[in-house]
Amino acid sequence: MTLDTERLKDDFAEAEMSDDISDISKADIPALLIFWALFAIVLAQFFTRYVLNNSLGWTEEAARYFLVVLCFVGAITGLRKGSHIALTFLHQRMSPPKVKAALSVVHAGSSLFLGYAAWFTVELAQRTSHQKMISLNISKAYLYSLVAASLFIMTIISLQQLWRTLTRSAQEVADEVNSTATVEI
Amino acid sequence: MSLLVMFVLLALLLVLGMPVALSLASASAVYIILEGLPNVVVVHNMINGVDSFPLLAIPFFILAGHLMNSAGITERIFTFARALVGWAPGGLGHVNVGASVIFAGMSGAAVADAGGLGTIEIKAMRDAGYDTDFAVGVTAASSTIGPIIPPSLPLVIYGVMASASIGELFAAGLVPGLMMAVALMIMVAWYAWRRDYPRDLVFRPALVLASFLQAFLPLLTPVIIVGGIVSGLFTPTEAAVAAAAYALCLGLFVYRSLTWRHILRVSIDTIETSAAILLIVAAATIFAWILTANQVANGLGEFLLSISQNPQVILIFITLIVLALGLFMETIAAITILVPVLLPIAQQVGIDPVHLGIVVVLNLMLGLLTPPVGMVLYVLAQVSGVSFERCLKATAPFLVPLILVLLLVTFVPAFSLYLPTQFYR
Repeated sequence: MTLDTERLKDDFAEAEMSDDISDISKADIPALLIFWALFAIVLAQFFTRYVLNNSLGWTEEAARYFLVVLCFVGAITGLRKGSHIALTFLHQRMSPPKVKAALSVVHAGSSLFLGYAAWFTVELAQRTSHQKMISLNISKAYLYSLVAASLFIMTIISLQQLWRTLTRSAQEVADEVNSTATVEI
Repeated sequence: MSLLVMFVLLALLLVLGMPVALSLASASAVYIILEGLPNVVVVHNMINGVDSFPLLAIPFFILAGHLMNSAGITERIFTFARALVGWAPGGLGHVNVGASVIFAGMSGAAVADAGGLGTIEIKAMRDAGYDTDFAVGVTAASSTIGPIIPPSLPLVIYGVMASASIGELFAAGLVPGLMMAVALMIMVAWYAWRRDYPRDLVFRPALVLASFLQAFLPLLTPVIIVGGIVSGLFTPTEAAVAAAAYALCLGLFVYRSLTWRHILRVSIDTIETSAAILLIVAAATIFAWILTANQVANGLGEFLLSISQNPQVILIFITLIVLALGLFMETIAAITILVPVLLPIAQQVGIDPVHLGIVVVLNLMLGLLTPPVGMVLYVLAQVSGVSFERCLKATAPFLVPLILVLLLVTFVPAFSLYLPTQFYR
């Protein structure tokens, strides 16, 4: 009952070293850029505060807005891959026609909400077009516009998913559900 | 009435399998429409919910965790833990708990711990001849240490929602996290004695030293994070960025194991996980706003306080509420919804917000190990090929030591409050 150390090494290598990037598409580029810009901004703040003893004033506010944008732009990737956290355990116990029905409601509901949210974020952007950010001379409307655009893209993805669910057989839909993995927190 | 519609709709959407974030936001939107409130309120609250500096810690702790997982670091930690505690009877069980503790000091999540390190641990234990049930049980139970020992994503979210110091919360989690580890190790020792499990290897100081040196640089990560935050040198966000930058340097320059493909992979995974969490926070913000506007906390508070004003009794009620919701709700969403309701009640009877935070997160961790929504069990069932029902049965005995720790931490505030008092107050 001892471990085969060589085999263990292989197991670790297999589990750790995933460099499979086949599921990453050009559509993920905006999210990647935002993410690395956010990393750079917070690193810059860190550096100026600890090393130069003189922190840049705008970094905190900029970082917060990048985080907001990352949340919504990143959510597009999650929605596309169906990796947002959901209680999918019931799907595994449902018959295929029931899965199809449940998913149709889910996608229809998601489309409705995302469309609603996109619409009113545009209104929010219009209302705040005169409002400037505190430390940066930029209108807050840009922030809201990016969020609105993300929500709009998500609406389209959600509608596509609704269409895909409705037009395929119940068995196909159920098989796909059981093979997608949600994000792990 | 609109409130009832909102709750029923939320439950319905969740059961149908709509993502948690979208269920919360949709149900809230329906409430806003029914009440005739301005519709902009929904998105405005959602955006304001994530427009927060402390929340910035989330993507970077996730990034650091992912980088640690893909830079050959997990193996060094496992090897070190093995040399350190593998000599005891039931050796790999102890190694499993020990590695979880070390990894908990680098990553802030439970399910990721189960999915990453856990996969290998279960496989290694089965290969070495341990019972599958034992392997799954220890792995599942020990993965819940992750969000108690700092850094911790749930504690960041709690801190933001409760306006409590995240540094204090992190400091408060350290002792309860170690208590969980000790309790689980006692359980492992008991199993080893009952089932006559063997030792994994002989204790050799030279081996411990060699594996310690191999793991030295990664082991500095918890020191940077925990030490930096507890001593007040870093804010949690800064500690997260420092940890991520450090892990990146290790992978790129020291071990040279990271390629640009790895970095791309890790970035996308980080973005996906962060966005999923942040979107739940955003959606739960509008939901919590509606609960607050309707004074749900006041109603519940009056009811609970009419039964008893004793903090211990109120803590029992809070525990029961959190446990019940934790059975069905995902951790992050549960925290965001519960805090605005429970915190005012707790404060009325003098329960410390930091203490409450540890109690809430500990309770929710038990929810990860119980049906119907035991996320850790689902992940372990997926990666180990063991059925969900069997995972459930295998993990059940390990709930006993965890519940004992929960009771101790709940009713003896000193366990969580000693360190923050020493360093912060």
